[in-house]
Amino acid sequence: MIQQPIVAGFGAVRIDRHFGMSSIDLAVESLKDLESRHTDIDLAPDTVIVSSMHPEIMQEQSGIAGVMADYLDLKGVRVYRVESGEASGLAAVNMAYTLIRSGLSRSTLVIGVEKVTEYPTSMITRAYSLIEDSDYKGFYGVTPAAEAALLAKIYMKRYGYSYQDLYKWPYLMHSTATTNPYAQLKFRLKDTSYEKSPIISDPLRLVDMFPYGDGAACIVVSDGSAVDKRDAVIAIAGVGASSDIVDPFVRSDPVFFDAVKNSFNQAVAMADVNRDQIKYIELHDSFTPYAYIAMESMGLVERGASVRSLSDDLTINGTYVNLSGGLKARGHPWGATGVYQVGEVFRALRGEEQYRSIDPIYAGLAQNMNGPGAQSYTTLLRRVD
Amino acid sequence: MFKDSVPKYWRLRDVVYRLKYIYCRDCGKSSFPPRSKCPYCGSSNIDHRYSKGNGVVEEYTVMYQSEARYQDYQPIVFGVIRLDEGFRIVAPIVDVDPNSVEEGMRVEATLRRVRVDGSTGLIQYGIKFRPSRR
Amino acid sequence: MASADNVGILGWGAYIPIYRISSDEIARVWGFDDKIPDSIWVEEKAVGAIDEDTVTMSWEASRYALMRSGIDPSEIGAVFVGTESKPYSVKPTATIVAEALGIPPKKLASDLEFACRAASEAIRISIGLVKSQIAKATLVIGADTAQGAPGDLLEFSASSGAAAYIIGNPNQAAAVIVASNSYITDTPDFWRRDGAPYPEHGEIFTGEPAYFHHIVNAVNGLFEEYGFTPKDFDYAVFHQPNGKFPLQVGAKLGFDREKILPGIVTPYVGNTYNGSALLGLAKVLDIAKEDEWILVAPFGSGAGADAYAIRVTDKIEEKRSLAPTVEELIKRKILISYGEYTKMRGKIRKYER
Repeated sequence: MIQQPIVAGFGAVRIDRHFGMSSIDLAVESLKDLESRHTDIDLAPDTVIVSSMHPEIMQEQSGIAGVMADYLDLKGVRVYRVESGEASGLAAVNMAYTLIRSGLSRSTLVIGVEKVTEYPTSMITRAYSLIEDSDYKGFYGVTPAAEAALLAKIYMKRYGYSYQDLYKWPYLMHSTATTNPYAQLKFRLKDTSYEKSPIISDPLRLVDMFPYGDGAACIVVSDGSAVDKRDAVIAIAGVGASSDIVDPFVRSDPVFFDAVKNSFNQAVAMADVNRDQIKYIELHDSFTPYAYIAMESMGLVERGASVRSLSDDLTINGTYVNLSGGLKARGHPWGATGVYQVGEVFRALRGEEQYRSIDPIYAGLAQNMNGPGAQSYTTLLRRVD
Repeated sequence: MFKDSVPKYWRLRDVVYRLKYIYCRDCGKSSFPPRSKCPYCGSSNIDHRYSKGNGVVEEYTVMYQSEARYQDYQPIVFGVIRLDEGFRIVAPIVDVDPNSVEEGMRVEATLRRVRVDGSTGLIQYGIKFRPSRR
Repeated sequence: MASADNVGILGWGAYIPIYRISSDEIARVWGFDDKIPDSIWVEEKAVGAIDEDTVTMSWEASRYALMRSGIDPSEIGAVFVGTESKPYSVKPTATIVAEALGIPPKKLASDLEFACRAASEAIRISIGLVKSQIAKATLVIGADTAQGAPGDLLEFSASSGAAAYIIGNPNQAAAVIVASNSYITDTPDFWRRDGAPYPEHGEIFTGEPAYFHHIVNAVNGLFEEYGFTPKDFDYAVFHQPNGKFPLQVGAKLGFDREKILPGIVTPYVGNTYNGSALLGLAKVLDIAKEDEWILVAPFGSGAGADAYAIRVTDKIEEKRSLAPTVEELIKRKILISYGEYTKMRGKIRKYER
């Protein structure tokens, strides 16, 4: 019998520079948050999946899933680590979905965790740059920020936008993140804050890039045996995953991400929902231009129109995006991010505090990618009413 | 972190010293870095060739925050360069005032240090680009 | 006349980094009167960029030499790099340069060290290799990122640059090395101990007993052996530790200034050490005409000098335009501050993190 995967619960730590905590400490804290949010459920995970991009480099730890399960006092469980760069989180959720659907697992604990601030900025940048093709752009020292800057210039030129036009995104992300308990950056930007923000790679400035921060988030995916019945039951209705040529400059269009489009379409097709029922989307905005390109690649708006179509209330053609603050302001602890994103969609569907301003919604999804659309994953959640 | 790998740099020497690329005999397109199949049409009917290193800047960025091993070269101008053989590469452009780089600028290959592994490890050379001299 | 060399220069190539620092800037920082650089005639010196070294400059000059030579890299049977600024103390520069130029493995390759004349020695070795048919053609490179201690007088002149020559069959040559001679003694006028970052030198002792004595004897030896006189030559090129010494040694040997000035490079780009006299020769080849004669006399501390009698052929015109001239390279420049220069040349002590 094919099982319907349910998101039984979610917990996380606020993304921050957690100098006092290891990746295991962060995971423990995120699980405590889950338990305090969902007091009367019996998790009883038979499987633990850890999503983490750089435990070897940042924590000097291989086999992190096994060590983590041990410290969480889970014995005799299946342990896996899923790694797909900065999209590891949603890749792990995809795997949990598959294990539940197949009946192999009845309750899977997904922990997304990343220690980012273990070294000075130049070393963190080195670690993050490993997502580039190592034998080519990695050798030349091309950072993800430099690649995003090149794509931003192509995008701006093609569609006639100025830097100031694009600045709308970080401005709105900072604004909405101020009320998110899990957000790293809780300060507003001014209309002109970019003027004092240092250039990382022209034209992108510090305000156009996610902040370096540590985090851990966890969800329990179950077949219904573990579920928080006090509120709406939330199911994973569809998942998608797609890859593309890693180098955007070899693709036919560097500023449209086919992997994002394909993984989005897969998840929507798999779920038994209408496209217009999807009212909330958490998208991957590691750098300002990627937010706009992701919205266009998912078909929320035609190519080149996202900058002018995005409203100040963070709707685009009737769909809310990144009320959490996104990677830009909520934060982007690499391999943990996808799990945070699913948590935000989960909270949105349950109408939790960050999402009370919007009408109750039936379905929402998270989109998480590695690099500029090299690989993209989608997880679609809906209420089980 | 670990020292830079010696075999890795050695394996790459034809690519980084001489811009070895692939030319697809089926679709006629060139691409970089070399791979076993044409990324455009999937054909295995490919030639390995070496670029003369002349091209044109299609786009560029000036990077001020680099990773640890490249900080001495900051700011680094990275160009999206289309080589005369037809393929694109993202690579540093040197010997130029960042303010004077522009789209359509002709560039030529120059062999430079790309990264240096501390004071005792390997000096790793590779092709960068500079404004064409002639 | 004794047995002639009769070996050809198939191609020549020069490389001068784009960055320059003025002598006035160095004098300003270290508190020298600006008459000091004037007295040795050094106006500006070339500064290799932070990502340039003897390997990269050797590659540049060699590419230009190969372009002018018209031969395929696979015909090169030996690669020699004359330098006193090896990027690695142990590991040949020549192998990296050859690999990057696509010169196949069947070859000789090594770095030679004899202060500023190692590359000149490589030319004499090449004459032997080509004449004996051990190598069809050789690539000789003189390249240095010369070191001068901050605040030392040497800092006005010690610069970066390279020159490369393809030596081979005289019938395809732009110029023919007709005869050559060497004069070598143990004279400690300039040295750098193993592990020391900067050289020491005997200052005025580098002049009379070293530079002048060795060049005069090498040239006079050539003249005596082959019956040349200064009148036989249209150009005279000498090693150029500064702008003044080549004019002075030329005068001692009986050459007019007009024959020496066309090959002068050091006042504009500094002393490129192993590149010095060979860049001067390249500058002359950029303008010389068929059947003109060139005297070249490199010098290296420690100490030794060579003298070459070179005759220009009718192939010079067609080869000249195939690569940038020395004059073009001298004119292409970006002036930098002392601060930028110290960063580029690694004079700022950084600690590994």
